[in-house]
Amino acid sequence: MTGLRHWLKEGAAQRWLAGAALLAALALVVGLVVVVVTVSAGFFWPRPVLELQLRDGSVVLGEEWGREDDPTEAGSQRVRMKVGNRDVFGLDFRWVRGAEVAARRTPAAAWLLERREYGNFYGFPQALRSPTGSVAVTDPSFQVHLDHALAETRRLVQEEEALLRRASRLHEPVARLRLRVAAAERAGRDAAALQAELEAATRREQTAAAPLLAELAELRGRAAAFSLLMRTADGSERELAVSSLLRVVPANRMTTGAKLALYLSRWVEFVSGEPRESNTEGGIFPAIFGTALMVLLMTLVVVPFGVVTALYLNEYAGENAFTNAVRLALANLAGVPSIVFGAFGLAFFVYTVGGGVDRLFFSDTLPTPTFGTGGILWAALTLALLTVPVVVVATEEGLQSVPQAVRDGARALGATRWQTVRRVVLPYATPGILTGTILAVARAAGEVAPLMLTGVVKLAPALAVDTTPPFLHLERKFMHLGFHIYDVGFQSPNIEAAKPSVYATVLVLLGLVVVLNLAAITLRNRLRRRLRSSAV
Amino acid sequence: MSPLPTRRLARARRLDRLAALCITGGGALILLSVGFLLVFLLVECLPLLSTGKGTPEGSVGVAFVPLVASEDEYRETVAVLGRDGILHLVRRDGSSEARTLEGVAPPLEEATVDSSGRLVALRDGRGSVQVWSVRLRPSWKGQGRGLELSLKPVLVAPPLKAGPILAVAGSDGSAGVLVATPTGALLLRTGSGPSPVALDALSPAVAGTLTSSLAEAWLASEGELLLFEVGGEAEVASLVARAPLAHRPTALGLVLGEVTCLVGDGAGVVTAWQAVEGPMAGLRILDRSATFPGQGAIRRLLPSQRDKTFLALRADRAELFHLTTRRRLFELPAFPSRVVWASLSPRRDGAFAVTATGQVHRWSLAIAHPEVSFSTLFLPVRYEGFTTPELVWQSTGGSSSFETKLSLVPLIVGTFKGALYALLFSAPIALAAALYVSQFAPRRLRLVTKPMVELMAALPSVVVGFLAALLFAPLIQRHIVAVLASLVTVPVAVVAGAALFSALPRTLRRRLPPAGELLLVGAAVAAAVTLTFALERAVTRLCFSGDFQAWLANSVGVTYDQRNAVVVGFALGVAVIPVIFTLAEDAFSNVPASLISASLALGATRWQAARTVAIPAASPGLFAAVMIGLGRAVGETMIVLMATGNTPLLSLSPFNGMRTMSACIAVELPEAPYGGTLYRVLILTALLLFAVTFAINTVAVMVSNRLRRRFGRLAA
Amino acid sequence: MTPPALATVALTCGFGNHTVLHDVSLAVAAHRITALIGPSGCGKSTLLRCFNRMNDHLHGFFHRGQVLVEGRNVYDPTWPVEALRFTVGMVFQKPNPFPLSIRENVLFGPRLAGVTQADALEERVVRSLQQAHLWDEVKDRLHASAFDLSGGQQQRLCIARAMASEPDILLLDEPASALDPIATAKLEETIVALSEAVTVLLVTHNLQQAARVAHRTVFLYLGRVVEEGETVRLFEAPQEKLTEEYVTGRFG
Ligand SMILES: Nc1ncnc2c1ncn2[C@@H]1O[C@H](COP(=O)(O)OP(=O)(O)OP(=O)(O)O)[C@@H](O)[C@H]1O
Ligand SMILES: [Mg+2]
Repeated sequence: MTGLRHWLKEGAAQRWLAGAALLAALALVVGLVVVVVTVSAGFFWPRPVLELQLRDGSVVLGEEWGREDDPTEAGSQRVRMKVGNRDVFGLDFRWVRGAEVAARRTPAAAWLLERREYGNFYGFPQALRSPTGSVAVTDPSFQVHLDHALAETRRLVQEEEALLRRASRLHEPVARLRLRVAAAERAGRDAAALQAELEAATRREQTAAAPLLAELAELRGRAAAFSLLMRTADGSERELAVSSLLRVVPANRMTTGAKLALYLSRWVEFVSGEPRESNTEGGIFPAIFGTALMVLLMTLVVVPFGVVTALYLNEYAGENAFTNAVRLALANLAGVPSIVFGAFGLAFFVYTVGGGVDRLFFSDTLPTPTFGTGGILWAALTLALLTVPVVVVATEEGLQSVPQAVRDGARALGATRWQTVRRVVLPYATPGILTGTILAVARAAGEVAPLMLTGVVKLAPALAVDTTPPFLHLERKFMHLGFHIYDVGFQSPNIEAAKPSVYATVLVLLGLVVVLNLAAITLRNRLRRRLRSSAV
Repeated sequence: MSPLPTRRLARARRLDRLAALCITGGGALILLSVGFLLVFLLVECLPLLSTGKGTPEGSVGVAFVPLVASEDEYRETVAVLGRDGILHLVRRDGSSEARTLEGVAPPLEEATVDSSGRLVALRDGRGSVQVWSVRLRPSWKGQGRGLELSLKPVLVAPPLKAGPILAVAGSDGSAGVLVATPTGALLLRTGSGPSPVALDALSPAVAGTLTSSLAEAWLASEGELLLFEVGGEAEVASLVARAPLAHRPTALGLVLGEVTCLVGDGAGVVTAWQAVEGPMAGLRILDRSATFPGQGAIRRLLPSQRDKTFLALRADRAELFHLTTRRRLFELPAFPSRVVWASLSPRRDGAFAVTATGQVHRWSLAIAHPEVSFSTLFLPVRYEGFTTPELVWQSTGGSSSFETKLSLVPLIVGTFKGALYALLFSAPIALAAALYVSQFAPRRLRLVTKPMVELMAALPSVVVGFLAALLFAPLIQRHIVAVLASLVTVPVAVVAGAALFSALPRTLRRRLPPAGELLLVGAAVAAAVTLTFALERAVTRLCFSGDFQAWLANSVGVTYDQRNAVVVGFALGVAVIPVIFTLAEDAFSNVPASLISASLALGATRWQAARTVAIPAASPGLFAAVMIGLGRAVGETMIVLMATGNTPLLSLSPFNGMRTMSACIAVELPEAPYGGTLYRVLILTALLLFAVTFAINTVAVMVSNRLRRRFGRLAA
Repeated sequence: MTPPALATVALTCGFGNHTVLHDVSLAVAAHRITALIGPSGCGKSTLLRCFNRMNDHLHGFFHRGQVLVEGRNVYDPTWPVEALRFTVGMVFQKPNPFPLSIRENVLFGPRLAGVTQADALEERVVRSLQQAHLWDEVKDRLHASAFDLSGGQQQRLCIARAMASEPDILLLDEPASALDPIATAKLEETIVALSEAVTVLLVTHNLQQAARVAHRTVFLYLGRVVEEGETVRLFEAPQEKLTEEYVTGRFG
């Protein structure tokens, strides 16, 4: 008994428990990051295309996407096969029970086709049809012809897209006039003049678009002449337009180098491409762009504002009731949940300010809102309010590291207070300001809840920056990495198929935030070291 | 002598003053914006408090004796049916236009209008009961909006011996009119069968009302309320339920949704009734769900077509009530005497009354949020169709007559449930970890842990929520037994490991570097976790007959949601641990090192020094750390949005989900129409969240200051 | 007759309700080195800061009496404080270089004054650094950070920085207190050389230093001027008992 008491007094058990708690906390962070990296990084790595011969005689062709214990049969496992061919089977995935499988093969001839629509296709190539005739897969020149067909159709598709963009630009004035006509009619105003204008614009559009449409039809016709004949696992044949193919992957015949190249090119496509198939495939470029632009706008607001506040607290005001109140306000801003800022942003920026701007400057299209609905500007302002304390705190730390003697030195040379601040204090505090900015950026890049109220969308029809004046469209809605994760991960109808895309997005966002934070931490540690050394 | 740069100097001084002004302004702006944020949110939800008001808009006179009236949707024209059998369209400016009801013999004996204002039932001079469809449709031809009247008879019954018309309802194609008889009432209908359906009450009906489907009819006789169902193959009316009435009924009316029947009586009281399942299966009884006391006999009850508001017309007054909140909203001001008919406008934004003296009075009504009151937000409410008062959040429903149920209690409970489960998990870990790092660990370890914990704080919550919901929730579901068991086995294993370690010879222990001890701890934890998971299946078979969830449902009666409070606790823990850890670590490192070394010098072990000196001295800071962690957990949005089922349940079970205030705002506010009730209630929720976190943070600071003063003497 | 470079007339000043200087009247002759000595806390720095109004930035500062620079009241509203500080330069006890390059440190004052011609700036850099006896040591690394210099070099940089504004008067507050003997000797050499161009008022604790460099010496005690005079006379034949005790090291 006394032994036990003595042992408890010595505290080894307590120390071990506390150590276990520390390990648990660290394991949480490390585990989370490791899980994200391992799970996400693997999705784009090419997998072999498996052919499973089932006992009932049917054949399943596809990639293995995980396995688990068979709930219907203890001791055996079942495999989740990505069988693709959504247009044929309806679903991309199916479970195959271990007991069903008679044989597993990786047929060298099996191909994976990545398509613009309907997801992956798995099958065996048979022949290529092109305007010059048909080439069988056994023909030695098949690969050359296929490469040519792919290159040719890709060029045609690009031309087609360019045409469509031009056509939609032609349509813009008409769409805007339509809105104005509708608004005028609803308000009971005379819409005859507008109506006439609209008709004229429509006619103009039609005459301008007619050659485009003809060209489009011609392009499509040329693209349609290339097609690939594939045999599916069950022996039926399908003809796929070559223009619908993104990649042709002879998955079971690839060298490691080819696999690596494919892996990298999938990442490049992911980071730089447009989303497809309601965000479950393709890239996330608009989300990256939206996040970056929103954060940039926010930085433009929050840094001056935060620095000015920190300057006020540190350089201009002494300790008094007012500065105490400002500090209290800041502490509160830092503690208020982000969703409250979102609610405020929606109620104030979007509905009150945005609604007011619409009534003043865009009344011709009301009630269709221009600024009176969520947009990138309002989101940036909301996040700026949210991140002000971050910038202020870091800037203050930077300002406090400036020795008083340096300020005195500048004043003694005849500098005014502002000159002292601008020429000496601010340069000295730059690392602090930078730290604050980076932390604010990291916080804003990862914050989602307020954005959901102030202008983020799952699929933005256009980027907020483009070639139509005024080039920067602050009223537009935007896509965001964090919201993309939430939306695709939780609102998507086809979660399994979307998994690679979501996990990769998670990796991108996490990487961004981690890198930013590490940069801020390093910078701040350097600042603190300087603070310590200048204090002695 | 240096040249005096006078001009330049003046400019520099001007610039200096300007900068001072700007910077001071910027500082003030922060204060202003926080105050503004609060005030703005407050102002946005203030309208919830108002019960609304009615403003008289004057009256116009007409040169005939009015009987009944109805108003168009835009409140431009009142269609008044006169005793002369002519329909007059009376506009705001007093001008009017007359349309004769063909085939109606004046003078009319009586008339009534259905709840939508589109069907008029009348009895003409020959005693013929007729139903006319009166529609005022807006037309968009030419300049501005015009009104187009379509007027047609939909039911013409031959003269019959019967009492007064009680009610009319239905649509143009299928209208019905309820006429009193000495034994109850007759229901005359268009279309189906020529013979009227008799509603047998064994005594004369004094009031009645019909659902618009004509499937149910309510009758009130001298002392009784009766509910009939009409239909079936035989096209008969069968009495479904009855209930005695305390006073002589004078008027009946069906509240929007046609579930609740209002009964107005001669004593001036309005009671609300609904048919509910009785104690015997299949039999319904009439249940009084609300009572609205008042003075002066009720003449008519006129429900709104928009919500559960209704107008009660008395001899010389008209009052507005709301069924669900049981509130009397207000009385129509300057109500004239000798009113023969009054009603609410179709959009419930106005009211009108016509008097026997030929005046048409109008009011505009501003009733923004009648369905919200303090009690609907925070107390149990008995909604239509409920048998007991309940706390429900349900903001959207299928039909247009759906009643939103906006009780904040499930959200508040959900918020604190999630936060408490999170703290249960994270507070011990974070505090103990901070203790370890500050008191036992070598300095180098601190240099590693600090940035890692900071990184943890920076993890975007959307990522944490995503992983929790899609990766860990299924994992935890599959291994719930092992996960829960680990909460016990891991500490036990660690303590056992410590005991083993103490048993080692001292020289061997000495040789171990401090970080090596942590490795041993890690090994103990890993061993415990591995063992627990390995034994999981056997334990489940032994204790829970092979399936924990089935066992839970059968033996405890608790269902298991995949996204539940345990998952949220873990996920929120990731967000909360760094907050608590950082503040607790600061609190520990602020304890003067001299105090601890003094204690060590007196022969105390490191643990004793920590227990008797460091922990008491740091306790205010530790308390503040936990409180601020709580504040963070309460306000977190994305994690709970993703890792809870997001259903507004009122359950404290760790295996059920919940909906928090923050998640509710995030999901519902973007869809809530600006200025609407849901919008304002959600803004109120945001304000509440603001207040809660503000209070939590303030309490944290205050208590820590207070305790610090107490321990300050000890530390000094 | 030209007025003294610096003068106070019945100056009483202090902070809050603590009076530091009592009725001090003093004149500092132009183009000479005047040393201000006295025990710690007697108000030497405070008196020094009166001349360029640096006290104004301190909390609770008040003053009565007059402070004159070249015969002109420093509180003259038509004389902006920045202009005064161009005339009266100051070097502090601890070196306080700015986080800029050596060159930019020196040019801080000229740039404030609006000098923009490249050759004029260049000339200032060279001349100021030479005046501060620093030129030879830094002429190859003018663009290096000022923080890379040693403590003594930094202090001479601060002197160069003050001289670059071409002041008439230079206030030095214990400039050698943070330096080793060799650096101190170099600094003293610098100060003596400077006196050809400017009037120097030097606060020092080091009596030998005062004896070595100063033409005149003022002894301040508890906020009052006890004695002033030619350095040699003050040290060798003090007229006041207090002075004698102080210079012989019997207290302080
Ligand atoms: N900012 C201030 N606020 C209040 N009192 C001050 C302030 N600065 C100096 N004092 C007081 O004024 C008196 C004189 O200070 P001063 O710095 O002038 O002394 P000193 O002679 O320069 O001393 P030392 O030789 O130690 O530098 C001291 O008693 C000091 O406490
Ligand atoms: Mg001094």
